[in-house]
This record gives sequence, C-alpha cells and structure tokens, in this order.
Amino acid sequence: MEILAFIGSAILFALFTLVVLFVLIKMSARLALIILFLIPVIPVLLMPGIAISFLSHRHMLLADGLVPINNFHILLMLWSTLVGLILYTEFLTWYLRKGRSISKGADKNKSANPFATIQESTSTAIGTVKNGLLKR
Amino acid sequence: MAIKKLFFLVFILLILTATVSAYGIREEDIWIFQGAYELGIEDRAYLEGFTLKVHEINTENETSAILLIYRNAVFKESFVADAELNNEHIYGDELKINVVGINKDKVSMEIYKKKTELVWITDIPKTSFKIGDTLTENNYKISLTGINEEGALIAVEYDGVNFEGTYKTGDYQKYSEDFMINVVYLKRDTNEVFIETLKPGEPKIEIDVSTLKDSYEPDEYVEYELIVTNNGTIPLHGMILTTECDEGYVELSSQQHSILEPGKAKRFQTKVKPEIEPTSRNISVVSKLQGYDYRGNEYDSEYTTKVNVKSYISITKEVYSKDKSSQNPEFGTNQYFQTILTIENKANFQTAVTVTDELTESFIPDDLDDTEWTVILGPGETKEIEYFASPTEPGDFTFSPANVMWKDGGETYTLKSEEITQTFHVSGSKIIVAKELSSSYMLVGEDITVLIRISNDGDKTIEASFQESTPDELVFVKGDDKWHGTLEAGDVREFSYNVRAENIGELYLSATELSFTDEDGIKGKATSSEPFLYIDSAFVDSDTFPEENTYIGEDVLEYDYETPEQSEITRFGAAGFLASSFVTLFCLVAIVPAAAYLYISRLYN
Repeated sequence: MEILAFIGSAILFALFTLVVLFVLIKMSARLALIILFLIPVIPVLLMPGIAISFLSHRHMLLADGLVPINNFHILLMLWSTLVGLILYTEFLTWYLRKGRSISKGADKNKSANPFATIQESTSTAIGTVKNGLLKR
Repeated sequence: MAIKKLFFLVFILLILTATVSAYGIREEDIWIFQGAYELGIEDRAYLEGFTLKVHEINTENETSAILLIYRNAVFKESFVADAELNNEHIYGDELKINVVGINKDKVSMEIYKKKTELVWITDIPKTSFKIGDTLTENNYKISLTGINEEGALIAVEYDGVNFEGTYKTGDYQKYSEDFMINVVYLKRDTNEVFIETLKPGEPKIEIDVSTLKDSYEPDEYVEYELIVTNNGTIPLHGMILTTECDEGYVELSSQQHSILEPGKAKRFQTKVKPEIEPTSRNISVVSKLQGYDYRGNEYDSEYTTKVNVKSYISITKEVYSKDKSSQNPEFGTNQYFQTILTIENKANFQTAVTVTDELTESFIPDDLDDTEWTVILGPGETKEIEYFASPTEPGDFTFSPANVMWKDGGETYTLKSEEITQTFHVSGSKIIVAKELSSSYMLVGEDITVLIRISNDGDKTIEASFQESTPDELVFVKGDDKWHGTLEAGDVREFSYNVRAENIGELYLSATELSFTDEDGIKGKATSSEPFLYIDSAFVDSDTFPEENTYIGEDVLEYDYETPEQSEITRFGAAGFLASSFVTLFCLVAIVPAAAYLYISRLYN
C-alpha cells in the first residue's frame, strides 16, 4: 500500500513537472510560473481535506526517523527546481536578447559589441567581473 | 372329569418327585463348617437354631473350658473340652464343636453343623455316549466300553487311577470329593447312555452398599447398609464381617451370619461415628468379609466405602425478595432483599467465627456499615444473621455465597455457603444520561459537536425531557438541544447539536438534566457528567495543546471526531502556507539571477 501511494504521488508530480515544462518551452515562462504556483494551490482551496492529506502523506523517514519526507517536501523541492529553471531560462533569454541588441549596434561601433561570440562574451564578462572586483 | 383331574395331579406329582430325585444326588448330608470363633467367657456364637456359650475357662491343671449348648435359646447340655484329645464334641449328631485352642480368656473353636446341603453342581451336562465313545477332560476320562443285561459298562480314569463299573439308569458314582458321574438314562434300544459329570460348587461373595447419603453431618452417625450377595453355586457359611475406620468409631466392628444360600443377599447395618474435623473430607470405611464353604475353604472379600463428612461449622444463606410499600421508593427500585445467614457449630466446643457476605455494588445494606460479623458459637449452637439491602438500580441479580472463617489449632479455615442459583429481578427505572464532546479542544471560530445519549436501562417506559443551556464562551449553531418524548424500556436515544467557540477559555459544560416520569407516575431525574472544554485562540501554539484532547464521560462511547491536528489548518491557512512557501523559494532562487540582471543592466546601460 505504501509503495502504491509512493508510485501514485510520483506519477502526479511527474505530470505536474511535464505540464510546467511544456508551458515553459512552448508557451511562456511567466505562464509556467503561474501554473507552477496554481496547480498545487487550487486543489487546496477547492478540496482542502484531500489536498492536505495528500500533501501531508509521509513516504519515508530518513536519518533514523529524524527527517520525514512528505509529499509537501517533494512539492517544495519541485517548486525550487522548477522556479530555478524558469528564472534562469528567463534570465538567459533576457541576457541573450540583450546581447543580440548590442550586437546589432556593434556594426557601427565594434568595440561596443562584446558578444561577438560566446567565447568572447564569456571571457569579456569574466574579465569585467574580475576588473570590477579588483577595483573594489 | 374327576379321573382327568386325578391323572393331572399324579402327573404333577411325578414331575415334582423327579425333580427332587435329580436334586438329591447334588446334596450331601455332611458336617458343614459354620465358622471359626474366638469366644471369651460368657461370649456366644450364634448358629442357625443353636447358641454356643463359653461358661468357664479352667487354666489351673489342664487347660479346659466348659461350654454350654442352647437350642432355640433353651439350655440343652454342657460339656468340658480341651485343646488336646478331648477337643471334639458332637451334640445330637447335629452340631460338632472342634476346640482348636484355649488360652486364659479365649477359646478358639471351629463349629460344624450336620446338614443336607447342595454340594455338587453340573460340570458337563448330559452327554450321549455310544459304545466306544470317550469323553476326556482335564483330569478324567470317561469311556463307554459296553452295554449288557446288567447295565452300561463305564470305565473312568481319574487322576491316573482306573475305575470300571456297571451302571443302570439313575446310578451315580463319587470318585473323589471333587468328581462324580451320574448315569442319567440308559437307552437300550439304541445302545446309548446319557452321562453327566458333577463337581463341587463354590460360593462367590459380592459386596455393595445402599442407603448411603452424599454427605453426612459431623454429629450424625454414618449409617448405611452393606449388602453381601452370594453369587456362587453353593452356600457360604460362617460369615464374619469386620468393619474398620481410621477416622471414626465403628459401632459394630464385627458381625456374624451363619449361612448365605446361593443367589441370596444379607444386609449388614454399618454404623460409624466420624471424628469432628474443621474441614469437609472423605473418610474410608473398610469392610472385610470372611466366609467358608462346606469344607472349610476360606473365601474373603473387602469393600471400601468412601463417605463424605462435612465440617463442624456450617453456613447457609437464604435470600428473599420483598416489594417496597412506598409510593415513591428509594433509589427508584420496587424491591428490596432480606438475607438470612444461619451459622451452626456442631462441635462440642466453642468457636468464634467471622461471617462475610459480599453484596453486589449496586446494593446498599440497611443500617449497616459493612456486611461482616464476628459471631461466637457455643457447642452445638446455631445463630442467625438477618439483614436487608436495597438495590440502587433495576435489573436481574444473583447473590454470591456467604463466607465463614474461623481458626482451629492455629490454622484458618473458610467455608462457603451453597450457591444460590436463583436470579432475582428488580423492577424500576434506570436512566443513564451521557454527555460527550467531539473534541475537548477547539479554536475560536470552530464548531464542535455535543452528543447526548439517553438510555433507559430499567424495565419501565418513561416520559422524559431535557433542555440544554449554552455557556457564554459558546454559541448554539444547530441541532437538538432540547427534547420531550417517550423512551421505552431498553431504548437508547442520541441527540447532538453544534456549538461554536466565541471566546478563549477553559470551561466545564453544564450537565444535562433529564426529568422523567415513569409509567407508575414516579418522577425522577438523571444527570450527565460535565465535560471539559478548552478553547484556544486561532493561532496554534503547540505548547498550549492539552494532553487529553478528548473528554469522555462516565459511559465510554465510540464517536468519530476530528483530531486537533487535522482541524487546526483550514483551506486558506494551507493555501496561504503554500503561497508563502512558493514566494520564499522564488525569492531565494531569484537572488542570483536578479543580482546578475542588475549588474549586467548597470554595466551596459
């Protein structure tokens, strides 16, 4: 019975992850973030008994019973992972877009385009951070 | 007609004569051993029709004794006998006294009586022999060697010795004291001889008891009949019954009886006075029977009778149910009980005893602190203890036996009265009101269920009502907080209502008071317990959790309720917690990209 509960929970969390990733890749990162938040919260509001008992279901006890692992912990773990994924995706998107816009301006002033290549941009960025740190 | 009758009479007489004749060879006119006796001076030996009495024992010169013979209690003659040459005396060819020994106060003798008595019984029934036929048994062989004018020539080999003789119908021959043949019929036309063999019979003793009671009081005689039956084939003579008992005094330790015919029984009265003991126990009465056949062969039998003798202290308990006369009886029950304890001391000494009678919990004795008494019982004294008790509730009751405890010789003994198997019914009203809460812990704003359970355990229908009151800390939400109706005997009704907590606090809910009137018009009240309730603020602080989170009244009922752990978090609380978790995680994860974003933005702007 315990193993069935664990498999069921794992399937639900996997579906949840896939939905969020699908939205992230195919649609929008912001929408994925909203879905990431709403999918667990809406059931808690609509059917609190079932949702809370699902989240509080304990799968295992780690470190000789010191660390209980509930579905809630798994949800937090998934949330932190997916939030990180979404945020970094968004950040990189922004960063790359910014690099492209600067690159377009570099045709006029090449020195003003530090993102000619990834290697170049990386070394430039490291160098800038290094300089900035050294200045301090 | 008269001739016919005469023929019939003759025929009957012939049959009877033939029977007597057939029986005749089985009987012998012999000295029959009547028994071995040891008689002191003036002692008597009673025989069938004769009495033998030792008159005097002379031990001065030659040891001798003067014995007297009575016939039907009339003195007949006296004679002097000694244990040597003059040891045998025969009276009128009927009685033979053989003196075996004389000492200074006893004469030992064997007495024989001449009598025609059944001695022989059939060994092999009538068997047909033809010339040359042989019958072989253990120690004899019978052969029919021929038949001539004089009769049948029969050769008999007995114990290695050969006998031969000519026998006619009805002839018989005794070869020893143990073997005899009888030629029943010689049939000349078929040259056939019918022979039967005879052997001496044997008495067989069987002992049984009758009129034996299950148990005897210590002050009464253990009296019963011992039935001695001779299931053998010949009479038993000189029977002496000796009775012994280590735990009592036997009144007739030795009894005699002269003869017991086969198939007949003799009843001996046995009387034993048991010793007084503090405990009930089984005593053994050993009866030994000794008897002889006509040749003086001894036959013995022993029978042990186990007899239960009660303790010298006895206690009896009697319980009588009586109806209360009052219109409004105490405790709402219509009966009370009279108990009589009778304690008896059958010993011949005084004894102090402690009598204890345990009552069931719902009984209250009248004018008594407890049901234990110390009683001094004189020798043979009987005392009675009488008391009354009222049941506090109706129902069916049984009474346990009363106990009596006393000391004897440093040991403590206890005895119980007999079980009272009767079940006594007490009618009346018994109403139980139980009040419970679904949880004894709640938060302000939460609902809680109050359950009231009314059961009519009496045997009367009641008209009942109750009205609940809600304390200031709570407000009534919904449900049955009042009722008026009828409750049949044995019925149970449950009511529940919800209340909501308004203020924090610790409180006892007021008891539910049920007023009722039974079918006889007797009024009463039943009150529940007061359940405890702890109302906490909406913010849960685990330290303030009471250990007992459920209050259960006097009568335990199973009732499903939410635990505080489950009820502490609402949907909004849980959603809020999820939202705050999400925001916190988001903020933590976003620190690095946000910093990078700000840095890069500042760098290139």
